[in-house]
Amino acid sequence: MNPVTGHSVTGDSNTGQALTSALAAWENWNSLGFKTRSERLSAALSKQTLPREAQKLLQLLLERAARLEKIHELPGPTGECNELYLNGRGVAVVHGTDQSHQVAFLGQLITALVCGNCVLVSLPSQTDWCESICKQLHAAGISQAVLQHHPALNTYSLSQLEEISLVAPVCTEEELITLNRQLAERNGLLVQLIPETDPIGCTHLLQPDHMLRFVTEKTRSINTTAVGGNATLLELGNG
Amino acid sequence: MFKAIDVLDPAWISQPEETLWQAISPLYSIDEDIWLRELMPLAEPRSGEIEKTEKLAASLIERVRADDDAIHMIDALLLEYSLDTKEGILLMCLAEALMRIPDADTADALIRDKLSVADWKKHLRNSESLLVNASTWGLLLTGKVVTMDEREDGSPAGIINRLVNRMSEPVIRNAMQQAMKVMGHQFVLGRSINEALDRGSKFRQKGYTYSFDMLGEAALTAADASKYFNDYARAIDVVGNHQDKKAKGPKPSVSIKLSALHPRYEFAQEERVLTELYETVIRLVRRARALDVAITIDAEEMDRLELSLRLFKKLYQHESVRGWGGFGLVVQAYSKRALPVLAWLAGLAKQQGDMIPLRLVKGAYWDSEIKLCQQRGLSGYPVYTRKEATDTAYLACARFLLSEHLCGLIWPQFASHNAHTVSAIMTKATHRQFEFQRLHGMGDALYNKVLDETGVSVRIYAPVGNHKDLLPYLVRRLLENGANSSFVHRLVDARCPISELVQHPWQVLRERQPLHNPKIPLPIDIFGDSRKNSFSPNIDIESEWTPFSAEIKSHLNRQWQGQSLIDGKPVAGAEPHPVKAPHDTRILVGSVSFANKALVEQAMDVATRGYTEWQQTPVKTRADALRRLGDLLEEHLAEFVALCHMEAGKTIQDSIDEVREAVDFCRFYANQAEEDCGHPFMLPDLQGTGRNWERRRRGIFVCISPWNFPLAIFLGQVTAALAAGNSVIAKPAEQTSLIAYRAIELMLEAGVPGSAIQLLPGDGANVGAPLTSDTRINGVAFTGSTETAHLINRALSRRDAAPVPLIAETGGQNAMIVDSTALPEQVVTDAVLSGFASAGQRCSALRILCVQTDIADRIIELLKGAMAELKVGDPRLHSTDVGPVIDQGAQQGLLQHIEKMKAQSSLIAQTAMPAEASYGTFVPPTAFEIKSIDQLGREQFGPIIHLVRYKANELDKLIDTINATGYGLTLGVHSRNERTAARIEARAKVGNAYINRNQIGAVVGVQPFGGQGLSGTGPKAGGPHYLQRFTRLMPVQEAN
Repeated sequence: MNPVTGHSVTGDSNTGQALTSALAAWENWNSLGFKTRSERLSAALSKQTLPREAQKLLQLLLERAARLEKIHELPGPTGECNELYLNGRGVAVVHGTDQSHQVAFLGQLITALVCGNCVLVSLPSQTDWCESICKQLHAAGISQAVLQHHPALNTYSLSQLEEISLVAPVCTEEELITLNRQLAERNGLLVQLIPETDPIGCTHLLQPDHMLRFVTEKTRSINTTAVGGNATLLELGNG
Repeated sequence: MFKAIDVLDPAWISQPEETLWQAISPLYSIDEDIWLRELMPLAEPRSGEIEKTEKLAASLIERVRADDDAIHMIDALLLEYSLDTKEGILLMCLAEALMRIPDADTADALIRDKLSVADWKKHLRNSESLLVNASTWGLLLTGKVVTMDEREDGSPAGIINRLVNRMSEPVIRNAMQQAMKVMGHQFVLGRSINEALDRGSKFRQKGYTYSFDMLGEAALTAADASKYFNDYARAIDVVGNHQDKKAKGPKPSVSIKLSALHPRYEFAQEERVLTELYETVIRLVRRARALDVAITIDAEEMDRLELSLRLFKKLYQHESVRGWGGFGLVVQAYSKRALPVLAWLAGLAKQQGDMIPLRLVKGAYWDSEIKLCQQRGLSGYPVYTRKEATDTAYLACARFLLSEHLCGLIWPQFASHNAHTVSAIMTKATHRQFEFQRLHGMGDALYNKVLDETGVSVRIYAPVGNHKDLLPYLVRRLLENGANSSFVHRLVDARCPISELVQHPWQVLRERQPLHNPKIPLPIDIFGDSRKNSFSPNIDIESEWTPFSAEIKSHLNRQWQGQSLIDGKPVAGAEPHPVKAPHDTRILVGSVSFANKALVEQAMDVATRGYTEWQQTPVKTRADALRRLGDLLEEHLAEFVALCHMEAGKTIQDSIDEVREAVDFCRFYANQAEEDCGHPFMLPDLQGTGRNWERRRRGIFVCISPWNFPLAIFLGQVTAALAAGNSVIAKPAEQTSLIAYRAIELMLEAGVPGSAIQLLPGDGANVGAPLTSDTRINGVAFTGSTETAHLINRALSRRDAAPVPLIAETGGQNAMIVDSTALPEQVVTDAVLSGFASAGQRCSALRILCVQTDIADRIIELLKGAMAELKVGDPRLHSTDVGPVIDQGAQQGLLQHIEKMKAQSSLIAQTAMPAEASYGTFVPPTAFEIKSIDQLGREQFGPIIHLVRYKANELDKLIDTINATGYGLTLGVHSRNERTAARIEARAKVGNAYINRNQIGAVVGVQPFGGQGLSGTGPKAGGPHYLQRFTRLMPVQEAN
């Protein structure tokens, strides 16, 4: 059951349960903000023994994500407040294939999490390692609903899940084409497919545009005149 | 140009009335410096005048300050709780909303919201006033108690405090309600006209007289207008029949606000104003004249000035007014048109021979006027931007009004609380045929001295009415236009040196360079140096509307032709088919030849060649071409307005807004391209080594746009893709191909090469599908339905190619949440605009109006009344509010939904349709009350609002239900409780949230637009990340 909609979620019972708890956990996780998530994940990862290049990549990603907390104040007429800020998209699937490399996989996972998404992870070729990473992050305070290891997830089951907002695979170009085709066949949300197809060099993960695809933008516009906002004009004074 | 100094020549006002009239409108937004240089000689003090005025003003201020009783009532409150303090604003916000809240929980929450965040203690004992100190103690105590509620640490102390708080909430609420009543008592002379006369009696004995006004919101409905009419009529009767034997001075008068007497008092409804409203006022005038109660028409917003003058003339020349001399009006000196208005009125009086009582005020809507002009991109401001300029203009107007040759024609009534202005008038005047006016509760001490020492009459402008309605109204005016209240504070503030208060504004202004306030940019310059704001003529102003309207008309009978544009050349495809006007399908607008598959292939070949050429064009050259396109669109504004009427059924303002948005897109993306592209930047690799990267084009973008924004969204997608260096194949909506064709013609003229932009009008099957399944395509920008977005996604994925960006903007099921702190009139105005403007055919349009149960009945009543006032019809007419929907398919679908809802829910209202609607594809604006949001299925893209009630304690459940629709485009929130509004905004999964305003009309670069969930992929159009999605980052050595 989707706790928000009250409707049944798609997928088999295991996946459905995982999705249900992820959807329920999303609002709180997202509301923590980029900086807090970045700090929490940073603290959690500091307890792990990771290869040096993984440490570097994750540190860069977490620092970059913390900067996404910034609210853009937009110019406009007097008496209005217009702001643009970023949120997580919802539930993400971080998926790896046989070709996936641990560093790239971690990069995708941490990016999805730090951007405010709840994550279902699946790396069938390295289930034990994936399980241990999840356990370590849980032990460090990331809730079980926010990060769930779901080894049964495959490209077919993904295509059945309408509530998934994004899929971040680590795969080859050829695998990507197949995955994209399967995802496009599903109904529901237009899923964001955010791949890393360079598992060794992590070329995509290193680009700032990549991270921006894990988030959604929100604009709020407030007519401030009804609550005293025109004090801004009062304060202008004379030039 | 009108020569200001000429008005002093007695012969000036003897000119024909039409000649004097012609001088008014051209000054609407004239260059402030030019006009002030023209006006200043009229305000220039004559020999000795400065010294004499200063001396008199200083003496008045000294005597006011020496008077122990000088600072009381509102002066004191405003002094202590000035609007430049946080506490002042919070107090006024509370006063604005508290009394209208029917339910205790929401009232308590508002009190907590306002009182727990300010430092009330610092105001304690600053003021001598009992009222202020009593209020401060109350605020301090309640503020402390409610602050405790914020402690949610679970500690015993915290729990006890919260318990205490729960128990004391009714006490606090009652205390606050009481405090608001006290404030209301100060602002309002009486709840009824009888009470006002009684309370005013002691002032009348002192020699004051009154002008009573039943102030309140403008009428939204005929029922409200009728209520105000009855209030005014009763006031006239009571005042006319009232005998106060001890009273001295002239007889009281009544002021009327025209916007209260007619629900559509606006330029667009001139015909109704000059007939229906005219008849209404004549009825009041007859009554007033019979009882010899003078009537004054209040001044309102600048856009209504010319209309009000036309109405005034018609009324003044009516037999019921001829020979009376008791029918007058208000003129605002902050208006650049004030002086020619006065000259015209004097001419009118001279012609007819009846004196016009004329209240000269400085003006009370200054902040709103500035804001409105900036939003609408108007040519300039109709008001001055410096306080001293307004004060100078006031004195220039006063000089004219005090001219000997105006005696007997105009009876000047100088309204000001500024001691210097009062002194200047006393000094300038060579006779005593005038009076002063002040507001009830303000300037008492100053005018007591004036009355005692000059013998000039003083009239008090006094609001009369229910505190619950009136206090919020008055406070709102203060909040929205606080900038004009400053002198009152300083007059009674002993810390402010007298020398600062007695400076002659003419002298101050003369020293200013420039004469206008450079800190308030012109509407066109509000985005600073980065880009020009798009321009709009003001269609409510004669001097701007008349030529613009003529230009539109010159295009209305044209026959437009459209076809494919490939490599910069028009190419015919399928047999041309006729294009009919949606508002009247008997009218042929032109014809369009759709592209066929062969043309798709041809366009693809050219685009493949084109992107190599275009991507090598320097980014500045690309950006400049788009800026030129923006300028060309503005030059062709009238033509596009005509085309939008005829092909898309858009009303005048909608059409202007359409072009403005397109212009903004051109300029915004041009800037973004220069910012984002063409500059290498360093990114580290996994080893930490820096490498140079550059943002480059992706290749060929297909842009598929909808008919509801046939120019703005069409060009928004295309210009972003082009700015980024891609070549573009554009497929506009079938219904609006002519607009797209004309836009691309201009684009070519602006310098975009023909190989970079291909236009393929046509349908999805013959154009869209072959394009999106072609492996040469590197990205798609799409706006339309969620279903079509999925089809495009599938088509793209089935190609044997790597995934490419699909930037999709899709549907919405947009809600507005209204709690009981909201102002019902504002809610309904915004709901009607959000739901019915553009015939509801906006992605952002309101579909579900969620209203807290406690105020739902009032909202429904207002909604019914406001919908009855809407005019559906020919979009070419200024008076039309709602035009047709796009075509018969859309019409039938919407009418079927209406029929279905009639069976399943309760019909609130449906706007009447004119007979000629049968010739077009119209759908009447309709509102239903539904039991649950679950009753609704997919979005209905037309003028239909579904109202649903919710209980205050079910707000979170409501937000969950809205989120559960899966759509997430726009959300409106109406609440004066800032925490509630923030909570709703944070929890709602939408792309654009609008608080205390309408939820349509996102402005490029100001309100980046786009949804989430089923409503779109992002990034947001008109936002900082949009253009980047049309590019990819490449290592510099690989970039070429």
